[in-house]
Amino acid sequence: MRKHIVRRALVISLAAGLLATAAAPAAIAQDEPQDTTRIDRFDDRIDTVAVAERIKDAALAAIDRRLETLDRLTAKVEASDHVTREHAAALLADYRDARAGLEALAGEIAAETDPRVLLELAASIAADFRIYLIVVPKSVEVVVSDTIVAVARRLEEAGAEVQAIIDGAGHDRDVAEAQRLLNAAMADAARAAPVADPVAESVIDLAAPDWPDPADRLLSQGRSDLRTAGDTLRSGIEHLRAAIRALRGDGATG
Amino acid sequence: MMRRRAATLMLFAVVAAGCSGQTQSPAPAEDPASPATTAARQAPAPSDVTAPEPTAEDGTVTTTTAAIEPAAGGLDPTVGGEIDQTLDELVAKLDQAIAGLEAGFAEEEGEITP
Repeated sequence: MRKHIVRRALVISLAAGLLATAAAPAAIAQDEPQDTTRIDRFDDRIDTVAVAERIKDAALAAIDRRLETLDRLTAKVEASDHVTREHAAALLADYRDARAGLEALAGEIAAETDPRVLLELAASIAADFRIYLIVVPKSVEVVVSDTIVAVARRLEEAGAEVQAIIDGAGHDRDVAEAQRLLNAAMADAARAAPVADPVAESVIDLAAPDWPDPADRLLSQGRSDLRTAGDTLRSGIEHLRAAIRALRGDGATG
Repeated sequence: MMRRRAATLMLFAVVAAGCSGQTQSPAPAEDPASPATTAARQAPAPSDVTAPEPTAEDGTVTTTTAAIEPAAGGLDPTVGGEIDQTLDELVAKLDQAIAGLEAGFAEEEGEITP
């Protein structure tokens, strides 16, 4: 909640600063259309060409930053060993669509000279794409969700190997403690995967119009679930390590 | 009578000492600091000397299986070594994933621009 308030305050202050220094007449014209005399006076005093260039530069820089972010996300998804083929295809399609939309918007902004129109176009860079509020967090949630599921599966495979060692240890060995720890590790793996697995599906179709609802809620829930699943899985890994130590007779079991 | 018995005992003692070649004395307790004890402790156990330590081309000494002594009551210390390595990799993947998750949410502040 506090984060939203801070963000809103930043947006308001940014907008206020921009309007005060550059495009005040445009904002006043929208808020107080009846006071045409004041608008005309402002229009006479400002250099609209300079204002338009400043808005244009800022807007095009913002688009470039988003395009670079999309490139980074594309590389991340393509390099991931764990993202499923379906999830990767959906995310990469999203990135291509966003790139095409942002490049088209950049063309419109580059051709526009009216500061008022430029301000509206600039606002749509965030509102129509939500690269940082939706695309980035949903991408990392999909990657982390698939990664946790894959790690849990690998932990279960490693547990099966430890079980084979226990089974082959012979009757003269006391493997009760190792078996207890192995069971705890497998229970952790079994609990982590079902928590992490649904997160990818719950966020992968989120798009700009979904902000703030339901995107904010689903992304927050997903983040919380993935943290929980990650902690559970880490506990499972430590339990399996302790099982191996118990088998070796190291004594230091957890 | 008494003098004859004493003389007999002395003669017996002299003969006995001559046969053994030295005077017997109680065995001393092991001195942990004595060089002989230290050398005995440092001497490798028979199972440790079955093969010389192989040396790599760069001069580093590598561990041999023959030098590994099983822990008391446990299995060979090498048990689960590969699994340990796998677990290290899993922890690294997990840590990287969770760090990426947090970084992904930190980026949302960028949405306030332009």
